[in-house]
Amino acid sequence: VRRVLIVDDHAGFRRFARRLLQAEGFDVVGEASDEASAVAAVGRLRPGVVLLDVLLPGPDGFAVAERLRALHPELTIVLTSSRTAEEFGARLRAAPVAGFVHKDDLSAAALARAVE
Amino acid sequence: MSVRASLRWWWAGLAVSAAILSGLWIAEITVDLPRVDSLQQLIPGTIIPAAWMIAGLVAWRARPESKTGVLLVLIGCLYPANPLSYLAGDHAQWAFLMFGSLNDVLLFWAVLTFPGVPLTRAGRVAVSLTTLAVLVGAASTGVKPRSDRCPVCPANPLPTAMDTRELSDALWSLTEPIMAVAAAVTAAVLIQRWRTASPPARRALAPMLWGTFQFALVHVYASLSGNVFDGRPGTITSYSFGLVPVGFMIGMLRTRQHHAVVADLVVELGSAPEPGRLEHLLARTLGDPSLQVAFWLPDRQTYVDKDGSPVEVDARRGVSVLRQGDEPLAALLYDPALLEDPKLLGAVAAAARLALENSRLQADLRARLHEIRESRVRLVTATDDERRRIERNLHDGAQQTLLGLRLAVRLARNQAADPQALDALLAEIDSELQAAVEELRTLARGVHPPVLSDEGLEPALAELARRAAIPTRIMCACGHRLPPAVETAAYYVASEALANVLKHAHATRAEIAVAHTDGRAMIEVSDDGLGGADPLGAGLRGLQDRVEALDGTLRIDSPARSGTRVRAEFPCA
Repeated sequence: VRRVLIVDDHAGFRRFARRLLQAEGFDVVGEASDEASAVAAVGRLRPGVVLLDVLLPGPDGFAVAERLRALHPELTIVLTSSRTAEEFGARLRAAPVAGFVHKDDLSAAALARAVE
Repeated sequence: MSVRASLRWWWAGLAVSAAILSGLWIAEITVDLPRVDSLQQLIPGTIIPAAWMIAGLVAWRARPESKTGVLLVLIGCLYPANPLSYLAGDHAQWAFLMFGSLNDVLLFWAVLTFPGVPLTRAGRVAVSLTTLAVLVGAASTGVKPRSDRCPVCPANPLPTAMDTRELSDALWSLTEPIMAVAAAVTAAVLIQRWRTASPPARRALAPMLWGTFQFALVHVYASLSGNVFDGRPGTITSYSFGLVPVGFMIGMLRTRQHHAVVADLVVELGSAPEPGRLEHLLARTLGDPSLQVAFWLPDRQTYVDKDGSPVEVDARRGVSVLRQGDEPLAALLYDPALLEDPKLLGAVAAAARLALENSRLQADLRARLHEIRESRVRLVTATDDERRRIERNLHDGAQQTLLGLRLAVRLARNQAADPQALDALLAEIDSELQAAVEELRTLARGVHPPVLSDEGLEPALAELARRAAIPTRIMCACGHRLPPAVETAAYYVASEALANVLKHAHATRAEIAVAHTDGRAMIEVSDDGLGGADPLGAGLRGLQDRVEALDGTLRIDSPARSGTRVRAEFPCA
């Protein structure tokens, strides 16, 4: 459950998110920037949690979440975005994810709460 | 009431009085004549000249420009001269007879020029022959000795030393063949006119021809049976003569009717009919089913019919070219018989020209409106796209960097215990912040370069040239600021055109020229690249909309392998 894969197209954000989560006790096993690299990384690295950005180039986070859940039903997915949960509304509620963390609030504690 | 109209009323009064007087005179004269019933002559003696005068006045009123009406009135006025000759003294009698005979000439003239066409060469021959016959007839009468067969015949004005009976008879026998030739020439002219007349022209000609034809028949019959028509009222021939002006009058009214159809045409054309309907209306008005409207295509410099097929303008057909200024609008092709009635043709052509001009203006207006609607949609879409692009750029760029930096600050707090790690992290944060600031600056410049509003077009263009990847020369020939909207549009023309040069043209250098003369601002971007730019591409299309929104024009000149020249001009006081 502590093995995390970060999926985000912005390298700067990934870099600091990785270091923050690691400093706070998560084991960040890898990074991906879009659907293809995310699917490949999950298959290879077998993370317990995927921290998945909503606004990705190509298929967005919701589509990627559907795809990953279909491939790995046991996978826990947490969506993240610089937009708020309210902005996504029904789509977020219907998504096969454990939770949502606003990028502003991202921390190991917030991720842990979302996973639970 | 116009002078002309009031003059006509005077004429009408005069004519009616003259007709009544002539009836009374004739009746009075004949009271004293043997074997003539004066009452029998009173009524026709009034009615016949009145018929000519009234018909003449009606015709004159219907077609004031035509001489037919005047000729008919004159014939009516001269009619009583013949019977009056019986009243007058010897010498006056002769003069009256001359006047009376002049009617023959006037009648031929009226027939040949009806309803207002000029006398043809054959027509002049016929009129001359009639005049000759009248003169010969007058001479015959003049030299005729008074006999008891004709107690009121005028006296011989010549010295009567010799017996002139034979001379008179010989002269008289000449008149009929001359008249016959004149009549034959006239008939030939009329047959030719009938053959070539358009249906509306025939409708007008027919009553006149019937009226004249019946008189000719009665006259010939009477002559053959020995009753030469001497203009005396009460005979069959005189009634027949009285019918002639009725034919003229109906004919003249019909020509006016077919002028009135032009008014209907104008009304119908007012609704800007389709090309096919226009052709049908014109054909109907001119009574020529073969009429064709050939529309001029300025782009192809050719005529096409209503379906768009090319039309050859055949000189053997009647052709009227309708113009708008120097440029043809269309050509009407019709039966050359219509040239007989140039006034009708002219009126129809003028109505058609108005309708076509109207249609062209409407089509032009519709096209412009359509273009404006489309460009408005494109401008709105472009604005929306631009907003989305900016939002996307902000979201993907600076915002993500800043969010990352927040995480970094949070991380730094955790690392307060390790000064070395903290130091490295702060340096990292600093360089990330610098990148974010630069990113925002670039983005802002893309939205609106501040140097453009602060310093003006020339420094903004210089900045653009400085950042361009190929040498770009600026030639700015206006030392003052232009209106902000023009500066902005000109700047975007330059920046978009230059971006295209860098992206597509494979050019080694570019040049941006700006000028402001004669109330027009001009900017031109040229390069030495490949050429072949697509003026309908989204980028250039967007520029065009921007320029046209300011009433300007954008021209793209991009022959393959000869560089590209994008030139925008704006009205600018």
